[in-house]
Amino acid sequence: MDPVIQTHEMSCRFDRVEAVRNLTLEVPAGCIYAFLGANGAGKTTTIKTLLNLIQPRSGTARVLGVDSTRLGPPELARIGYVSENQELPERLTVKQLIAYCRSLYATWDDSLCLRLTEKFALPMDRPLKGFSRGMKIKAALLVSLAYRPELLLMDEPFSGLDPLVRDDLVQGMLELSDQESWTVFISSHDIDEVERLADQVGMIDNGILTLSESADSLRTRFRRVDAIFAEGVAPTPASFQDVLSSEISGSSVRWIENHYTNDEELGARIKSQLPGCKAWTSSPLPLRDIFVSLTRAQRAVPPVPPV
Amino acid sequence: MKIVLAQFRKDIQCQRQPLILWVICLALGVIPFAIIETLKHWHHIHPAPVDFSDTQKIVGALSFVAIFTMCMFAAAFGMFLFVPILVIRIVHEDTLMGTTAFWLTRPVPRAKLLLAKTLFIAILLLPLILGAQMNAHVGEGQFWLAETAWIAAVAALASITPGVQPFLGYGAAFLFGKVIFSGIIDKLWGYYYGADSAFSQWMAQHYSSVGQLLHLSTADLFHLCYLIGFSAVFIHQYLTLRTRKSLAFFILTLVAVGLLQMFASPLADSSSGPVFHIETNSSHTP
Repeated sequence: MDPVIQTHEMSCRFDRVEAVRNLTLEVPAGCIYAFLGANGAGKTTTIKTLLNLIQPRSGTARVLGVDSTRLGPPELARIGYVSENQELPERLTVKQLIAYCRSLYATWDDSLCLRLTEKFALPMDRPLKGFSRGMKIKAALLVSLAYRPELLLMDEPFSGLDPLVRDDLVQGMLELSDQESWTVFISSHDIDEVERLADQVGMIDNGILTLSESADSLRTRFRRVDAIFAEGVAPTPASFQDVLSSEISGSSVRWIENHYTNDEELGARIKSQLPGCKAWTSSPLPLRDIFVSLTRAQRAVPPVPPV
Repeated sequence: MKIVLAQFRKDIQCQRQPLILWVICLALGVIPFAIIETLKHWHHIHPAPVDFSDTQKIVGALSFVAIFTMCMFAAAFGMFLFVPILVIRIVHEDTLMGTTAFWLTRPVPRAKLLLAKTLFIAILLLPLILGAQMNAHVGEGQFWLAETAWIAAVAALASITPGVQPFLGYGAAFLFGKVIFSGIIDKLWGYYYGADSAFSQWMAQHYSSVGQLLHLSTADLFHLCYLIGFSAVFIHQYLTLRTRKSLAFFILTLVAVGLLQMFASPLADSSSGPVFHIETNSSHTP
């Protein structure tokens, strides 16, 4: 099956700032892809390029098999978009917004719309202008899901929302994901929320994609290792050059292992490379810590000047 | 058509309050004419003069003048203030600039959006055109053409600006810019070719001929040129979203028609001034 999103060496530039550099990624159909990055990393630019709101300076992006620069109403009818930056028609009530969007989509599903309206508990007869941020995001999500899009693009949907609203949104998405055969591309820096949803994870920093792989593989590959060394044989930082990050405190060391396969293999490696190690334990790493470690490691490497 | 109507309905819902005010103003504008028609009708049924006292006559006349003035002010307010405001609001409601507008990520073809907005503007202009059809001319020339050209300029400028503040800024810059530009050209021309030489009798005659063909005065011909130019900017911006090009077309329209006005009319840049009638051989032209 063709990937739903495919970019090849895609770069976007605003004046002198290169927002996205040579981005190459594929999002397979049916997966929930979390696109993680710090503020200003290039997430929004990537999503806007995918939606043909911005044209790439070089390289290509294909969405639903169509070049992003040729994306038009037929493709937009198959794509849902929710963004913290989107300007909703705020003078409309939810009821009027639903009526408006209903006429735009041939695949509009009234029963799903009703279900979502009840789930999000939105007041139908109040203009969106008076809504809180969370309610606006819910309204945007409602009119982006009710036509059963094949691809849902979400740009920082959880930003600035309280935990209850976040939970509502995540629960709603999870419920729908069980029933729908859609692809979701969600950009966020709220990694804890995204972790519950994601099948695939991509990380971007300073416009460069630093990682793109399945969430399961990430959770397996990255481990936190705590080790205790015998007195007088404390390791030096040079011993941990190949790992993502390390903290040495007296005779104990904590590092992040990024090539973990199993405890036997890791034990053998520690024994051969760190002979002074008395005991060690490894524990899984949350996505947030993986992101922080990877981003720090990336930033520690001096940037390659653009050619 | 379904999308056009949905968009049109959405625009009405979004602009409900100013639309209601606009309708009230128009209704008030109709009142004096309704009173006159009723009085005519009443006089027709009861031809015998009614015996009013002098005080009653004065009070009646004063009340009528007050009602008439108030209603005409309301109508003018609706026509000249609410129509441009509504036009700016409906264009900015689905802004054509930036990347955050709701419609940009929805399956709304640009041509249909343009059609819906044009339909809305046409309805706003309908009372004016109907009034013109009923021979309600104001001043010399065809007043509705000047007003339509003015609204086209407002719509075109709104389509190339992201909000009200930039609209006002650009609007003021263009108004002053046009006056300054005309003045500079006039002075330069006068410096090199002598005073009043910018006006060309030859050009004026041609203008008058074209105007006669279209049954328009020279001033109205300029309004028609402005209307065509600004409508082209509006359509171009909606269909291409190329704001810089549209802005260039907008300036080009202002400059080109401004120069034509300057060279074909004895009063430089005076589209609203008195119409100059050519007395020479204009009657011989077809």
